[in-house]
Amino acid sequence: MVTATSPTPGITLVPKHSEAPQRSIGYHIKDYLTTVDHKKIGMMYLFVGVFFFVAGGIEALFVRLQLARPDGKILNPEQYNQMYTMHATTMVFLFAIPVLAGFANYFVPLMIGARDMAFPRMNALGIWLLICGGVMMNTSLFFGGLPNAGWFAYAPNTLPEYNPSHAMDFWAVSLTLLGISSIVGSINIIVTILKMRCPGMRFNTLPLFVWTAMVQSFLLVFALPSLTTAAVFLLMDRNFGTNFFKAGAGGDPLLWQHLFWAFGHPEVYILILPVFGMVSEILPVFSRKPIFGYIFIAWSSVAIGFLSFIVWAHHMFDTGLPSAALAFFASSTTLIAIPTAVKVFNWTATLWAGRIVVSTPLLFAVSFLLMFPIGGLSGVSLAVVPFDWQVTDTYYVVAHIHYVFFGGSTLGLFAALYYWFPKMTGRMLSEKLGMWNFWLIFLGMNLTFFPMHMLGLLGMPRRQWTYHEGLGWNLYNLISTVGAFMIAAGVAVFLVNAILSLVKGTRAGADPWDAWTLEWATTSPPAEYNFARTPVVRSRRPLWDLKHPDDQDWMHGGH
Amino acid sequence: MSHTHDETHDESGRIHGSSAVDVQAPVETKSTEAGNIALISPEEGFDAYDAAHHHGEHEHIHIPPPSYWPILLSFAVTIMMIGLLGSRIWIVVGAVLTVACIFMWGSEGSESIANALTNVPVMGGGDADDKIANGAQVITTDGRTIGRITRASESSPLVRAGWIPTRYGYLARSFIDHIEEGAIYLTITEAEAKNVGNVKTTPAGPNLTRTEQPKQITANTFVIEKES
Repeated sequence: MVTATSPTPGITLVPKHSEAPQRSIGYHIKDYLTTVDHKKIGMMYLFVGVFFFVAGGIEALFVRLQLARPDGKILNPEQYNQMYTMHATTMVFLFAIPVLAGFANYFVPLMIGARDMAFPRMNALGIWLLICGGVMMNTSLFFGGLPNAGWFAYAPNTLPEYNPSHAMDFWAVSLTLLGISSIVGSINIIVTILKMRCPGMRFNTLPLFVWTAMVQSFLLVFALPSLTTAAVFLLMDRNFGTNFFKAGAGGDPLLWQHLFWAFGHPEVYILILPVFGMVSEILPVFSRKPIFGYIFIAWSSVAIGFLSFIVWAHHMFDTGLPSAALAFFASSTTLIAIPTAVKVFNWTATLWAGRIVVSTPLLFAVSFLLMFPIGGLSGVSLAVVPFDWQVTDTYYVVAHIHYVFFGGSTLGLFAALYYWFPKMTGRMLSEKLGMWNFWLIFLGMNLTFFPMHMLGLLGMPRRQWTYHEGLGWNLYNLISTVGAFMIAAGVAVFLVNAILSLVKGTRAGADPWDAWTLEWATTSPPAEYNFARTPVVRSRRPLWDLKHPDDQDWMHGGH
Repeated sequence: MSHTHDETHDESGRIHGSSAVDVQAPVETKSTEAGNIALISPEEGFDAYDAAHHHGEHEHIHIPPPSYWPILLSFAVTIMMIGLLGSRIWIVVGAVLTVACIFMWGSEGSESIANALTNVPVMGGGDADDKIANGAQVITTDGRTIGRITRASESSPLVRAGWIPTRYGYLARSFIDHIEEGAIYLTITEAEAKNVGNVKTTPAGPNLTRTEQPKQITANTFVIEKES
């Protein structure tokens, strides 16, 4: 029996189990407005991200409805421009980055045995700046329309002569706020990982999700200033008479492209690297094996991080770059496939001969493993300059980026949601609804995005408002639209699953997956202070060691 | 090195295997080179191990207090940015508010007095958590109020003292004698509290000055046993 000594002599206190006290709504509102707890902030990031995922998804459905049939009349050209611009902007800046930040906020401190982030109040500042930026981005709807120049907003389309409404001002201001938010959050994650690891946790024993979160944070810190600078230049060109991007006044529209893609290509890896980490956590648990090639997975993330900064101009092959630049950026882009392939082989080897436990997190993780290489390989094909010249700005590129962002990032994020939902809420998500969710999303994404390869090769330009009969695009576009609605149904199933599970889901317990990293060593959801005592670890699988005192990893000379 | 083992998973997806410990199994320990290692229940995690082996004595825990300044600073920065889109006066207003918020943020203290709060005797019965309401006074043995509870929490009530600069601190379990309605009585004097938390004090109201030792201590979260 657990006992404690009372400060009042002669009394021994024996804790009993008790339910958490009921609190008023006002208490919870105030709690969340002022919280600096990394877990609550992580949940806020996730909630904001999922909210904008739904919003961005609805915008995508409008785009697909418009393109479902030839000569579509669902949207007018201006509304169409706004829809695809906001879809991409929302998905990149208001869904993917926040959701990844949410997972990093919630789980990095838990996985390294810390009580909170290094700078908890800066952490709170990050989420509130994100919310302000998201609201600002969409507020422009009430001041002349939504942003309409594509998510990469090329100059001179964004200059007042061609875009006189305030929409692009809102876009630039929002991106500045979101940039500050991400930099604040990234610095926080880096310092937390470098300075707040529990005793015994060396870099060689760091969970792989933590590794990738750290690399992603470094990428954000070094890549975002380029975008923020570009956004400020754009604001000054539009409002203060400067000429950074005005060719007629001595400026250079290509400067925008360089500044944007100096951020934009690392951004691709910013959105995928933490997902690599998530998959590296999930596959071993559901294969009942340690990860294969830990060192290679960890350091290939670092290699990808470095290489991602020297490939940006492959987005600009059609702008008349000199031959030497074409050769350099084609080579560097091909080179980055090597560390990425290293990971794919290691994940496959982890599954090989494992005792596979088929569950929703595993299905999403394996589907990531199948889908992401399709996007990766089409990316390598785009590194071939003559081929790029043929298909640039066609639906082939749209297919490529969606196999990376959806087949890669989003499927991986679903895997992570199913894997860590029990830890965050104390409840299991329904496996039955999970299967519906998985198959709708998996089939839907392939129906939606695979035909886009053919559309691109048939010459359908991206950002095209509509098309006429007889171009051979009708069937592919219709299939793509049907697939988009399947994805929407899959997302709806997930939301229903989450709500039902929160209300009456099976209680998860501390460690429902019989997993091995530290976040599973505390209660679900964790106490405010995470761990009553700071854990001490000796290997990469501290919970395995705890469960198997006679067979701990470090006893075998491993990590 | 590869550890694999047999396992099953139930309808909810939870995995049960040879590395998972039976939920119903009592906590047991084994002695290894690494010291006493507990086999934990999946329902309880490390905290069960901690409770079993450290008798509720928590190590020093410092988790930061809540703050309004991050959200206010984000609003101030946003107002400043809005000025770029409309009247330039908002740039000035936003800049002033930004500087003010940063100053207030910096002025806000974050002293940690000590540990999480558990197993606290409650005068007159009732739930300890209900008695630790926001605004409850924190009173020393010499009848001085050193602050008020600003975030009521059974695990870590937070004390706030002063306004500018504001001082915060988590209340140490070891410093709490008992709880009454609207007040927490400490086992230390004002001077000792100052040494620990560097907080200012004010005289307690007469009805909150401690006048007697607790006679009846019950709480629905604890079973009270007399020591033999």
